[in-house]
Amino acid sequence: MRRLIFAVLHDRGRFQLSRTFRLQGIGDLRWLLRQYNLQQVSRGLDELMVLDVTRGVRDHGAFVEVVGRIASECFIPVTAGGGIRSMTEAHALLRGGADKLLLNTAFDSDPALCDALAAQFGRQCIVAGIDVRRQGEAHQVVVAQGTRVASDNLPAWVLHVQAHGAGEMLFQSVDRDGTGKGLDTTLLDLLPTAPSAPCLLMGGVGHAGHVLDALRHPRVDGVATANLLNFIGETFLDARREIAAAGVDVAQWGEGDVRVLRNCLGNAA
Amino acid sequence: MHVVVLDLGTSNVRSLTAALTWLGAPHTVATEGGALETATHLLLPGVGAWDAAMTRIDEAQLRDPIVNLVRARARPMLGICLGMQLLFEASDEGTLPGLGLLPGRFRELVPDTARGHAVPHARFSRVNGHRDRGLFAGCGEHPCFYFTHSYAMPQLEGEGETAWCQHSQPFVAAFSRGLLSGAQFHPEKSQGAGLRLLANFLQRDGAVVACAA
Repeated sequence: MRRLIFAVLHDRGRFQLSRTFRLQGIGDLRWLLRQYNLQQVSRGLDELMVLDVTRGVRDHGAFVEVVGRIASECFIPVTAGGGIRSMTEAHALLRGGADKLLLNTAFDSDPALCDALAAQFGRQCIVAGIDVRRQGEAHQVVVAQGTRVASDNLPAWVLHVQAHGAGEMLFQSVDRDGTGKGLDTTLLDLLPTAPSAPCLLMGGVGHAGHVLDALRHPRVDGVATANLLNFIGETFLDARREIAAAGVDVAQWGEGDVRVLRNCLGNAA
Repeated sequence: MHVVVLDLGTSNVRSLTAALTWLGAPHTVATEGGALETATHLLLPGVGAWDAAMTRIDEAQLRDPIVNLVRARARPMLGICLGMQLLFEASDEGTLPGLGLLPGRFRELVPDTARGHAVPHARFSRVNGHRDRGLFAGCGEHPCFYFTHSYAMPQLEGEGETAWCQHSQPFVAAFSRGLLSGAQFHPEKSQGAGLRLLANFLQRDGAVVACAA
Protein backbone atom coordinates (compact mmCIF):
# COMPACT_ATOMS: atom_id res chain seq x y z
CA MET A 1 0.00 0.00 0.00
CA ARG A 2 1.24 3.49 -0.87
CA ARG A 3 1.57 6.19 1.74
CA LEU A 4 0.42 9.77 2.19
CA ILE A 5 2.52 11.80 4.65
CA PHE A 6 2.19 15.30 6.01
CA ALA A 7 5.27 17.23 7.21
CA VAL A 8 5.05 19.95 9.82
CA LEU A 9 7.97 22.39 9.68
CA HIS A 10 9.01 23.76 13.06
CA ASP A 11 11.32 26.67 13.92
CA ARG A 12 11.81 27.43 17.63
CA GLY A 13 8.15 27.23 18.59
CA ARG A 14 6.80 28.56 15.32
CA PHE A 15 5.60 26.70 12.25
CA GLN A 16 6.75 27.44 8.77
CA LEU A 17 5.95 27.22 5.13
CA SER A 18 8.88 26.61 2.85
CA ARG A 19 9.40 27.70 -0.75
CA THR A 20 12.56 26.52 -2.50
CA PHE A 21 13.99 26.17 1.03
CA ARG A 22 13.19 29.78 2.01
CA LEU A 23 11.02 29.86 5.12
CA GLN A 24 7.96 31.86 5.99
CA GLY A 25 6.58 31.79 9.55
CA ILE A 26 2.89 31.01 9.90
CA GLY A 27 2.18 30.63 13.60
CA ASP A 28 3.02 29.03 16.93
CA LEU A 29 2.17 25.56 18.18
CA ARG A 30 -1.11 26.55 19.81
CA TRP A 31 -2.11 28.33 16.65
CA LEU A 32 -1.22 25.26 14.60
CA LEU A 33 -3.16 22.84 16.77
CA ARG A 34 -6.16 25.17 16.87
CA GLN A 35 -6.13 26.18 13.24
CA TYR A 36 -5.35 22.89 11.68
CA ASN A 37 -6.51 20.36 14.26
CA LEU A 38 -3.72 17.91 13.59
CA GLN A 39 -5.69 15.04 15.03
CA GLN A 40 -8.39 15.58 12.46
CA VAL A 41 -5.81 16.03 9.70
CA SER A 42 -4.06 12.82 10.80
CA ARG A 43 -7.19 10.77 10.06
CA GLY A 44 -6.32 11.05 6.39
CA LEU A 45 -2.59 10.31 6.82
CA ASP A 46 -0.34 7.27 7.00
CA GLU A 47 2.32 9.19 8.87
CA LEU A 48 3.24 12.58 10.23
CA MET A 49 6.67 14.16 10.00
CA VAL A 50 7.74 16.89 12.37
CA LEU A 51 10.86 18.58 11.10
CA ASP A 52 13.00 21.15 12.89
CA VAL A 53 14.00 23.58 10.15
CA THR A 54 15.50 26.19 12.49
CA ARG A 55 18.23 28.08 10.63
CA GLY A 56 20.04 29.53 13.61
CA VAL A 57 20.59 28.20 17.13
CA ARG A 58 18.29 25.24 17.80
CA ASP A 59 16.26 24.65 20.94
CA HIS A 60 16.24 20.87 20.97
CA GLY A 61 14.35 20.56 24.26
CA ALA A 62 11.50 22.65 22.89
CA PHE A 63 11.45 20.57 19.72
CA VAL A 64 11.20 17.32 21.71
CA GLU A 65 8.22 18.81 23.55
CA VAL A 66 6.50 19.76 20.31
CA VAL A 67 7.01 16.25 18.94
CA GLY A 68 5.61 14.75 22.14
CA ARG A 69 2.59 17.02 22.10
CA ILE A 70 1.77 16.13 18.51
CA ALA A 71 2.44 12.40 19.02
CA SER A 72 0.10 12.26 22.03
CA GLU A 73 -2.83 13.48 19.92
CA CYS A 74 -2.21 11.68 16.64
CA PHE A 75 -2.51 7.90 16.64
CA ILE A 76 -0.30 7.33 13.62
CA PRO A 77 3.47 6.93 13.27
CA VAL A 78 5.48 10.11 13.77
CA THR A 79 8.87 10.78 12.20
CA ALA A 80 10.97 13.51 13.80
CA GLY A 81 14.08 15.06 12.38
CA GLY A 82 16.13 18.05 11.45
CA GLY A 83 19.35 18.85 13.24
CA ILE A 84 19.86 15.50 15.00
CA ARG A 85 23.56 15.53 15.87
CA SER A 86 23.89 13.04 18.75
CA MET A 87 22.63 9.78 20.22
CA THR A 88 21.28 11.79 23.18
CA GLU A 89 19.12 13.98 20.94
CA ALA A 90 17.87 10.95 19.00
CA HIS A 91 17.00 9.10 22.17
CA ALA A 92 15.13 12.11 23.57
CA LEU A 93 12.98 12.30 20.43
CA LEU A 94 12.16 8.58 20.50
CA ARG A 95 11.38 8.64 24.23
CA GLY A 96 9.33 11.75 23.62
CA GLY A 97 6.99 10.07 21.17
CA ALA A 98 8.70 9.80 17.78
CA ASP A 99 8.71 6.43 16.01
CA LYS A 100 11.29 7.22 13.37
CA LEU A 101 14.15 9.67 12.87
CA LEU A 102 14.83 11.68 9.74
CA LEU A 103 18.56 12.23 9.23
CA ASN A 104 20.00 14.32 6.48
CA THR A 105 23.19 16.31 7.15
CA ALA A 106 24.42 13.59 9.55
CA PHE A 107 24.88 11.21 6.59
CA ASP A 108 27.50 13.70 5.34
CA SER A 109 29.04 15.06 8.53
CA ASP A 110 28.80 12.03 10.85
CA PRO A 111 27.96 8.70 9.12
CA ALA A 112 29.18 6.88 12.24
CA LEU A 113 26.27 8.42 14.16
CA CYS A 114 23.86 7.05 11.54
CA ASP A 115 25.46 3.60 11.90
CA ALA A 116 25.13 3.79 15.67
CA LEU A 117 21.49 4.91 15.55
CA ALA A 118 20.57 2.09 13.15
CA ALA A 119 22.36 -0.44 15.35
CA GLN A 120 20.62 0.85 18.47
CA PHE A 121 17.08 1.39 17.18
CA GLY A 122 16.93 -0.67 13.97
CA ARG A 123 16.98 0.36 10.30
CA GLN A 124 13.20 0.73 10.24
CA CYS A 125 13.74 3.71 12.56
CA ILE A 126 16.09 5.60 10.22
CA VAL A 127 14.82 7.70 7.31
CA ALA A 128 17.46 9.37 5.14
CA GLY A 129 16.44 12.80 3.90
CA ILE A 130 18.00 13.36 0.47
CA ASP A 131 17.67 16.91 -0.83
CA VAL A 132 18.39 17.23 -4.52
CA ARG A 133 19.04 20.39 -6.52
CA ARG A 134 19.08 20.37 -10.31
CA GLN A 135 22.07 22.06 -11.98
CA GLY A 136 21.31 22.04 -15.67
CA GLU A 137 21.42 18.37 -16.61
CA ALA A 138 23.26 17.41 -13.41
CA HIS A 139 21.92 16.81 -9.91
CA GLN A 140 23.50 17.74 -6.61
CA VAL A 141 22.72 16.22 -3.24
CA VAL A 142 22.71 19.11 -0.78
CA VAL A 143 22.81 19.10 3.03
CA ALA A 144 22.74 21.66 5.85
CA GLN A 145 19.41 23.03 4.59
CA GLY A 146 20.62 23.27 1.05
CA THR A 147 23.74 25.28 1.84
CA ARG A 148 26.37 22.59 1.17
CA VAL A 149 26.88 20.09 -1.64
CA ALA A 150 27.41 16.58 -0.25
CA SER A 151 27.61 14.76 -3.57
CA ASP A 152 27.12 15.32 -7.26
CA ASN A 153 26.36 11.64 -7.76
CA LEU A 154 22.82 10.81 -6.59
CA PRO A 155 23.00 7.01 -7.20
CA ALA A 156 26.24 6.82 -5.20
CA TRP A 157 24.69 8.86 -2.38
CA VAL A 158 21.70 6.50 -2.26
CA LEU A 159 24.10 3.57 -1.77
CA HIS A 160 26.00 5.60 0.84
CA VAL A 161 22.94 6.28 3.05
CA GLN A 162 21.78 2.66 2.77
CA ALA A 163 25.25 1.45 3.76
CA HIS A 164 24.95 3.65 6.86
CA GLY A 165 21.65 2.32 8.13
CA ALA A 166 18.88 4.07 6.18
CA GLY A 167 15.72 1.95 6.18
CA GLU A 168 13.81 4.46 4.06
CA MET A 169 14.71 7.43 1.88
CA LEU A 170 12.88 10.73 1.50
CA PHE A 171 13.84 12.44 -1.76
CA GLN A 172 13.10 16.12 -1.79
CA SER A 173 13.42 18.39 -4.79
CA VAL A 174 14.78 21.75 -3.64
CA ASP A 175 13.67 23.32 -6.92
CA ARG A 176 10.06 22.17 -6.60
CA ASP A 177 9.78 22.84 -2.82
CA GLY A 178 6.71 24.96 -2.11
CA THR A 179 6.04 25.73 -5.77
CA GLY A 180 2.88 23.62 -6.10
CA LYS A 181 4.07 22.55 -9.56
CA GLY A 182 4.00 18.82 -8.86
CA LEU A 183 6.52 16.26 -7.60
CA ASP A 184 9.71 15.46 -9.49
CA THR A 185 9.49 11.69 -10.03
CA THR A 186 12.40 11.88 -12.48
CA LEU A 187 14.73 11.98 -9.45
CA LEU A 188 14.00 8.29 -8.89
CA ASP A 189 14.53 7.50 -12.57
CA LEU A 190 18.14 8.64 -12.10
CA LEU A 191 18.81 5.51 -10.03
CA PRO A 192 20.03 2.56 -12.13
CA THR A 193 17.95 0.06 -10.13
CA ALA A 194 15.05 0.34 -7.69
CA PRO A 195 16.44 0.60 -4.14
CA SER A 196 15.41 -2.18 -1.77
CA ALA A 197 14.50 0.42 0.84
CA PRO A 198 11.20 2.30 0.35
CA CYS A 199 11.44 5.66 -1.43
CA LEU A 200 9.35 8.67 -0.42
CA LEU A 201 9.04 11.82 -2.50
CA MET A 202 8.51 15.39 -1.32
CA GLY A 203 8.48 18.87 -2.80
CA GLY A 204 5.99 20.46 -5.15
CA VAL A 205 2.58 19.10 -4.18
CA GLY A 206 -0.09 21.62 -5.16
CA HIS A 207 -3.15 19.39 -5.23
CA ALA A 208 -4.27 15.78 -4.89
CA GLY A 209 -3.68 15.09 -8.59
CA HIS A 210 0.06 15.64 -8.04
CA VAL A 211 0.06 13.05 -5.26
CA LEU A 212 -1.80 10.59 -7.47
CA ASP A 213 0.60 11.13 -10.39
CA ALA A 214 3.62 10.46 -8.17
CA LEU A 215 2.11 7.41 -6.43
CA ARG A 216 1.60 5.83 -9.86
CA HIS A 217 5.38 5.78 -10.32
CA PRO A 218 6.53 2.23 -9.48
CA ARG A 219 9.43 3.45 -7.33
CA VAL A 220 7.39 5.83 -5.17
CA ASP A 221 6.26 4.18 -1.94
CA GLY A 222 4.83 7.37 -0.51
CA VAL A 223 4.44 11.11 -0.97
CA ALA A 224 5.06 13.75 1.67
CA THR A 225 3.88 17.33 1.60
CA ALA A 226 4.30 20.31 3.89
CA ASN A 227 1.71 22.24 1.93
CA LEU A 228 -0.50 23.07 4.87
CA LEU A 229 -2.68 25.62 3.18
CA ASN A 230 -3.98 23.23 0.54
CA PHE A 231 -4.59 20.42 3.01
CA ILE A 232 -6.78 21.39 5.91
CA GLY A 233 -9.73 19.67 7.52
CA GLU A 234 -10.96 16.75 5.47
CA THR A 235 -8.85 17.38 2.38
CA PHE A 236 -6.41 14.52 3.06
CA LEU A 237 -9.34 12.13 3.49
CA ASP A 238 -10.84 13.43 0.25
CA ALA A 239 -7.49 13.12 -1.53
CA ARG A 240 -7.14 9.56 -0.24
CA ARG A 241 -10.57 8.61 -1.59
CA GLU A 242 -9.72 10.18 -4.92
CA ILE A 243 -6.41 8.29 -5.07
CA ALA A 244 -8.06 4.97 -4.13
CA ALA A 245 -10.82 5.53 -6.70
CA ALA A 246 -8.12 6.01 -9.36
CA GLY A 247 -6.84 2.52 -8.58
CA VAL A 248 -3.81 3.23 -6.36
CA ASP A 249 -3.71 0.98 -3.28
CA VAL A 250 -3.83 3.23 -0.21
CA ALA A 251 -5.02 2.44 3.30
CA GLN A 252 -8.61 3.35 4.14
CA TRP A 253 -9.91 3.63 7.65
CA GLY A 254 -13.65 3.15 7.65
CA GLU A 255 -13.81 3.13 11.43
CA GLY A 256 -11.02 5.64 11.66
CA ASP A 257 -12.53 8.27 13.87
CA VAL A 258 -10.76 8.21 17.22
CA ARG A 259 -13.07 10.83 18.72
CA VAL A 260 -15.89 8.36 19.42
CA LEU A 261 -13.46 6.28 21.51
CA ARG A 262 -12.42 9.12 23.80
CA ASN A 263 -12.72 8.03 27.42
CA CYS A 264 -14.77 4.96 26.41
CA LEU A 265 -13.15 2.95 29.22
CA GLY A 266 -13.35 5.83 31.69
CA ASN A 267 -16.18 4.25 33.64
CA ALA A 268 -14.76 0.73 33.67
CA ALA A 269 -14.48 -0.78 37.12
CA MET B 1 -9.36 -1.85 35.84
CA HIS B 2 -5.64 -1.28 36.21
CA VAL B 3 -3.58 -1.69 33.07
CA VAL B 4 0.14 -2.24 33.53
CA VAL B 5 2.45 -1.40 30.65
CA LEU B 6 5.75 -3.23 30.99
CA ASP B 7 8.63 -1.01 29.86
CA LEU B 8 11.58 -3.03 28.55
CA GLY B 9 13.56 0.15 28.00
CA THR B 10 13.60 0.02 24.22
CA SER B 11 9.98 0.56 23.40
CA ASN B 12 8.09 3.74 22.66
CA VAL B 13 5.98 3.43 25.81
CA ARG B 14 4.71 6.97 25.55
CA SER B 15 2.67 6.25 22.41
CA LEU B 16 0.93 3.41 24.17
CA THR B 17 0.22 5.39 27.34
CA ALA B 18 -1.13 8.24 25.19
CA ALA B 19 -3.59 5.77 23.63
CA LEU B 20 -4.61 4.43 27.07
CA THR B 21 -5.09 7.98 28.33
CA TRP B 22 -7.27 8.73 25.32
CA LEU B 23 -9.39 5.64 26.00
CA GLY B 24 -9.69 6.58 29.67
CA ALA B 25 -8.02 3.35 30.86
CA PRO B 26 -6.27 3.69 34.25
CA HIS B 27 -2.68 2.58 33.76
CA THR B 28 0.86 2.61 35.11
CA VAL B 29 4.23 1.90 33.53
CA ALA B 30 6.28 -0.81 35.23
CA THR B 31 9.96 -1.70 34.95
CA GLU B 32 10.11 -4.46 37.58
CA GLY B 33 8.11 -7.55 38.46
CA GLY B 34 6.62 -6.35 41.76
CA ALA B 35 4.64 -3.69 39.94
CA LEU B 36 2.74 -6.39 38.04
CA GLU B 37 0.88 -7.58 41.13
CA THR B 38 -1.95 -5.07 40.90
CA ALA B 39 -2.46 -5.52 37.15
CA THR B 40 -5.85 -6.48 35.80
CA HIS B 41 -4.42 -6.37 32.26
CA LEU B 42 -0.81 -6.56 31.09
CA LEU B 43 0.49 -4.85 27.97
CA LEU B 44 3.90 -5.85 26.68
CA PRO B 45 5.06 -3.41 23.99
CA GLY B 46 8.39 -3.81 22.28
CA VAL B 47 10.60 -2.33 19.61
CA GLY B 48 14.12 -3.43 18.84
CA ALA B 49 15.99 -6.68 18.88
CA TRP B 50 14.88 -10.04 20.32
CA ASP B 51 18.02 -10.84 22.36
CA ALA B 52 18.20 -7.33 23.85
CA ALA B 53 14.58 -7.61 25.03
CA MET B 54 14.97 -11.13 26.44
CA THR B 55 18.19 -10.12 28.19
CA ARG B 56 16.32 -7.24 29.79
CA ILE B 57 13.47 -9.57 30.86
CA ASP B 58 15.88 -12.01 32.47
CA GLU B 59 18.15 -9.40 34.09
CA ALA B 60 15.15 -7.63 35.63
CA GLN B 61 13.76 -11.05 36.68
CA LEU B 62 10.52 -10.39 34.85
CA ARG B 63 10.01 -13.86 33.38
CA ASP B 64 8.31 -15.44 36.41
CA PRO B 65 6.06 -12.46 37.26
CA ILE B 66 4.84 -12.32 33.64
CA VAL B 67 4.19 -16.07 33.39
CA ASN B 68 2.52 -16.15 36.84
CA LEU B 69 0.27 -13.23 36.05
CA VAL B 70 -1.19 -15.12 33.10
CA ARG B 71 -0.98 -18.73 34.31
CA ALA B 72 -1.63 -18.47 38.07
CA ARG B 73 -3.61 -15.24 38.30
CA ALA B 74 -5.48 -15.50 34.99
CA ARG B 75 -4.91 -11.93 33.87
CA PRO B 76 -5.20 -11.16 30.15
CA MET B 77 -2.04 -10.08 28.39
CA LEU B 78 -1.48 -8.36 25.04
CA GLY B 79 1.91 -8.38 23.38
CA ILE B 80 2.54 -5.70 20.76
CA CYS B 81 5.06 -6.02 17.91
CA LEU B 82 8.25 -7.45 19.47
CA GLY B 83 6.19 -7.91 22.66
CA MET B 84 3.94 -10.33 20.75
CA GLN B 85 6.97 -12.22 19.47
CA LEU B 86 8.40 -12.62 22.97
CA LEU B 87 5.32 -14.64 24.02
CA PHE B 88 6.57 -17.46 21.77
CA GLU B 89 9.49 -19.87 22.03
CA ALA B 90 12.07 -18.52 19.64
CA SER B 91 13.00 -16.26 16.75
CA ASP B 92 15.50 -16.39 13.91
CA GLU B 93 16.52 -12.92 15.08
CA GLY B 94 18.09 -14.11 18.32
CA THR B 95 19.55 -17.04 20.21
CA LEU B 96 17.86 -16.63 23.62
CA PRO B 97 14.66 -18.52 24.45
CA GLY B 98 11.44 -16.49 24.52
CA LEU B 99 8.79 -16.56 27.25
CA GLY B 100 7.48 -19.79 25.72
CA LEU B 101 3.83 -19.18 26.61
CA LEU B 102 2.94 -20.29 23.06
CA PRO B 103 4.69 -22.71 20.70
CA GLY B 104 6.37 -21.40 17.58
CA ARG B 105 9.38 -19.69 16.05
CA PHE B 106 9.49 -16.31 14.27
CA ARG B 107 10.98 -16.32 10.77
CA GLU B 108 12.67 -13.51 8.89
CA LEU B 109 10.52 -11.93 6.19
CA VAL B 110 11.98 -12.34 2.71
CA PRO B 111 11.83 -9.17 0.59
CA ASP B 112 10.12 -9.25 -2.80
CA THR B 113 10.95 -5.84 -4.23
CA ALA B 114 9.49 -6.67 -7.65
CA ARG B 115 6.10 -6.76 -5.97
CA GLY B 116 6.84 -3.83 -3.67
CA HIS B 117 7.39 -5.94 -0.55
CA ALA B 118 10.39 -4.36 1.17
CA VAL B 119 11.80 -5.60 4.49
CA PRO B 120 11.39 -4.22 7.11
CA HIS B 121 7.66 -4.32 6.47
CA ALA B 122 6.98 -0.77 7.67
CA ARG B 123 3.63 0.63 6.60
CA PHE B 124 -0.10 0.33 7.00
CA SER B 125 -1.36 -3.00 5.65
CA ARG B 126 -4.74 -4.64 5.37
CA VAL B 127 -5.64 -7.41 7.79
CA ASN B 128 -8.02 -10.25 6.99
CA GLY B 129 -9.41 -13.53 8.23
CA HIS B 130 -10.82 -12.09 11.46
CA ARG B 131 -14.46 -11.95 12.53
CA ASP B 132 -16.39 -8.93 13.75
CA ARG B 133 -16.00 -9.93 17.39
CA GLY B 134 -13.35 -10.27 20.08
CA LEU B 135 -10.27 -8.16 19.37
CA PHE B 136 -11.63 -7.00 16.02
CA ALA B 137 -15.20 -6.17 17.03
CA GLY B 138 -16.21 -2.99 15.23
CA CYS B 139 -12.89 -2.68 13.34
CA GLY B 140 -14.46 -3.19 9.90
CA GLU B 141 -14.10 -5.88 7.25
CA HIS B 142 -10.61 -5.02 5.95
CA PRO B 143 -9.06 -2.72 8.54
CA CYS B 144 -5.56 -1.31 7.98
CA PHE B 145 -3.00 -1.33 10.77
CA TYR B 146 0.54 0.03 11.07
CA PHE B 147 3.29 -2.60 10.96
CA THR B 148 7.00 -2.19 11.42
CA HIS B 149 8.89 -5.49 11.69
CA SER B 150 11.29 -7.85 9.91
CA TYR B 151 10.28 -11.15 11.58
CA ALA B 152 6.89 -12.81 11.44
CA MET B 153 4.96 -15.91 12.57
CA PRO B 154 3.99 -18.01 9.54
CA GLN B 155 1.48 -20.28 11.32
CA LEU B 156 -0.46 -20.56 14.55
CA GLU B 157 -2.12 -23.62 16.02
CA GLY B 158 -4.89 -23.82 18.60
CA GLU B 159 -8.37 -22.51 19.23
CA GLY B 160 -9.00 -18.78 19.10
CA GLU B 161 -8.98 -15.72 16.90
CA THR B 162 -6.34 -15.41 14.20
CA ALA B 163 -6.03 -12.47 11.82
CA TRP B 164 -3.63 -12.56 8.90
CA CYS B 165 -1.62 -10.12 6.85
CA GLN B 166 -0.13 -10.68 3.41
CA HIS B 167 3.33 -9.23 2.77
CA SER B 168 5.90 -11.16 0.73
CA GLN B 169 4.28 -14.12 2.50
CA PRO B 170 1.23 -14.53 4.76
CA PHE B 171 1.83 -14.15 8.50
CA VAL B 172 -0.09 -13.80 11.75
CA ALA B 173 -1.19 -10.17 12.20
CA ALA B 174 -2.98 -10.66 15.53
CA PHE B 175 -4.41 -13.46 17.64
CA SER B 176 -6.09 -14.50 20.85
CA ARG B 177 -5.40 -17.82 22.57
CA GLY B 178 -7.22 -17.90 25.88
CA LEU B 179 -5.83 -15.06 27.99
CA LEU B 180 -2.97 -14.40 25.60
CA SER B 181 -3.36 -11.93 22.77
CA GLY B 182 -0.87 -10.44 20.41
CA ALA B 183 -0.66 -7.89 17.64
CA GLN B 184 2.28 -7.79 15.23
CA PHE B 185 1.10 -4.29 14.28
CA HIS B 186 0.99 -1.22 16.53
CA PRO B 187 -2.63 -0.62 17.60
CA GLU B 188 -1.56 2.62 19.31
CA LYS B 189 -0.37 3.90 15.90
CA SER B 190 -3.24 2.60 13.78
CA GLN B 191 -5.90 5.31 13.81
CA GLY B 192 -9.35 4.55 15.25
CA ALA B 193 -9.26 0.86 14.28
CA GLY B 194 -6.18 0.36 16.45
CA LEU B 195 -7.63 2.19 19.45
CA ARG B 196 -10.77 0.10 19.09
CA LEU B 197 -8.73 -3.11 19.16
CA LEU B 198 -6.98 -1.94 22.35
CA ALA B 199 -10.33 -1.11 23.92
CA ASN B 200 -11.68 -4.51 22.87
CA PHE B 201 -8.74 -6.25 24.53
CA LEU B 202 -9.32 -4.27 27.73
CA GLN B 203 -12.97 -5.35 27.70
CA ARG B 204 -12.17 -9.01 27.56
CA ASP B 205 -15.77 -10.18 27.77
CA GLY B 206 -15.79 -9.75 24.00
CA ALA B 207 -18.52 -7.15 24.03
CA VAL B 208 -18.36 -4.58 21.24
CA VAL B 209 -17.10 -1.33 22.68
CA ALA B 210 -19.98 1.05 22.44
CA CYS B 211 -19.26 4.68 23.01
CA ALA B 212 -21.31 7.79 22.67
CA ALA B 213 -20.03 10.11 19.98
